[in-house]
Amino acid sequence: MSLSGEALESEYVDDPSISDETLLYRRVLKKSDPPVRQIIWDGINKCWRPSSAAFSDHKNGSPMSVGLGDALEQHGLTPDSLLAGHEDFALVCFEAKVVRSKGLGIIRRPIPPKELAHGEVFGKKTKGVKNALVNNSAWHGDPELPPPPSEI
Amino acid sequence: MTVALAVDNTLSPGHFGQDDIDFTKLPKSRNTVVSLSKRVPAWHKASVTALYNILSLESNWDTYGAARINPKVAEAVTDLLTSIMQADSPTPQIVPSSNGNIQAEWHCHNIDLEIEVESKISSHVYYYDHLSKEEWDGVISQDLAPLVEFINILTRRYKQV
Repeated sequence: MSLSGEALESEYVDDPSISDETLLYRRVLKKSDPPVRQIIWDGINKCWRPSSAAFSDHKNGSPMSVGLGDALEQHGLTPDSLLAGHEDFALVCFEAKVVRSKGLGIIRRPIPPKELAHGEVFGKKTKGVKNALVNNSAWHGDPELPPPPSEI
Repeated sequence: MTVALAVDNTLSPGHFGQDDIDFTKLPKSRNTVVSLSKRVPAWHKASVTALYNILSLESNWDTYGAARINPKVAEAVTDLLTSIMQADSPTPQIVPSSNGNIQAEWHCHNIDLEIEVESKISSHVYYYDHLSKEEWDGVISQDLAPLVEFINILTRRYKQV
């Protein structure tokens, strides 16, 4: 479904019931056969981290999907449940306040029966905004990444 | 699916074998070999392999409903890199995006450079030099001069190590 600018404006209003401290989770691709990742080696900070390309909306206008930490808790689920059936993915998280500090908003959009904690982060995601999400994100659990590359 | 790149010594020097790369025709079998010239830079071989791998992603590859990546975007990436890179430039990391774009990026030698390719005439670029503190954030269309300069700086530092 394609979302026009007007539809976005009327449908998307930041939900204050999602506190600033709520953790938002996003799956990031780390496929090994063949190797395709949204995780890159940062040779400056010497770490594997998500690429800013992992924090995009969809081409049709649908905002970036996330898992809402408070909704997970409410439904008796753990963040690890977001990786069930998604073995080629790692999980990254960031606080809702990071999103809002960049002028973005968050809404709840559960998708029964499997994605009860589904939410969306809406708003214009410039390179600066995406890099802010990268810089303020952390891995959830052990993403099981390869050893540092010899040359990148 | 594995795409292997083989060196074809019959191709003339300086010919990258670019004409042999057709991203609209994904190899259907494993271990397909794509022949490239002996003189193909390391970054070119690695990038073509990465792009073929990205194009093998199925619908909903990101688990959030992303469509398959369009081969034309992969073609735009190779065209752009061929236009701005030097033979001994460092290899980019190549990443698919849920919005259908492909991003080539470098984070090394105190430079962050991200080129998110949308089409042959539109790329979103972010550049930050940790030494000079120069920052550039914008859209590149047909004037590639800024990108050529960024790659020049990156390549110079890469060769100094």
